[in-house]
Amino acid sequence: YGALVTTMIKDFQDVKIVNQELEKMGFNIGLRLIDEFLAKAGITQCRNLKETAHYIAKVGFKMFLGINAEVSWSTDSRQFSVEFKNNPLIEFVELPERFKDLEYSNLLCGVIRGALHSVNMIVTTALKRSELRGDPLSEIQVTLKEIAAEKVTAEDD
Amino acid sequence: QGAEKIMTTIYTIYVYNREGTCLFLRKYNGDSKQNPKEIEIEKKNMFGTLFTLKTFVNAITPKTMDEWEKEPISYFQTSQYQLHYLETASGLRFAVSTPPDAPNMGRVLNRLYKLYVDYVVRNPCYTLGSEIVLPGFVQRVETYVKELRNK
Repeated sequence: YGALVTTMIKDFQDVKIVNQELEKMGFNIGLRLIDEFLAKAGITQCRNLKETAHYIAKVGFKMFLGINAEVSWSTDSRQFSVEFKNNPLIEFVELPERFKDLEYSNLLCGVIRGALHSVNMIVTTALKRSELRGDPLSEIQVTLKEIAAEKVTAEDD
Repeated sequence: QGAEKIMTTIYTIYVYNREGTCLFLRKYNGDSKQNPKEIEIEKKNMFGTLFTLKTFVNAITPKTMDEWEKEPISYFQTSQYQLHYLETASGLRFAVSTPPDAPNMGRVLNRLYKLYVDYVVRNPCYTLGSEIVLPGFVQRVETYVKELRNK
């Protein structure tokens, strides 16, 4: 992952663009990861946002990153944060001062957004805190924008 | 969980994605050869039926449902066949038709979902939403169908 991010910085030269591209990559991973997650965890339905947050932090993070994460809720019931330590992506990684605006783990934000998109939940995500930048833990904030209505785009007869 | 072996003939397997595109349709009862046009019609009809059935089932359910809740369909039956159904939270739809006396196909549907994850989703050469022609998936499903018929 580190080599990938380094190459992207060399290619794009702009940390803001790298952040966006990492998020997009994560989104595409999320679109696929959701099915592996649902199939392995045996989850058939997401009944509410609380359950969803729990599945992401307690099941998803464990399944794909091997770490435990916690959920914390904001006063807005449509927003929660996933907090975690020992992010395997940042192991052995150091962030030089000139890259302090790089959101190294932004891929994870995209994965969450992509996975939730596949279950009709439109969200925005943001990397609020990062161990890589000296915070005590990492935090990804998830905000529910809307629940997409089911639509069928197959051609009609 | 019982180690009871499921034994059944499978007529046809259908896989659709959230948008209604048919990703996979394979017939396993051998003889009935349909022309491509008939297959296209069957693909659309099956999806239309499943979609409408789900809307209908949710409209007449006696239970009060929350905003997010949906009544899942297990199967429907005629004198000639049963149509078993699994819809994932991601909108993937697996449907399997069997003879009318088939056992509960929940495990079979879940196994198909897992095969889809392992041999389609995880394959970087596969574009999401496109027809599944990957030999890995096709062959393993065929093997599984044979397994279910013989054991």
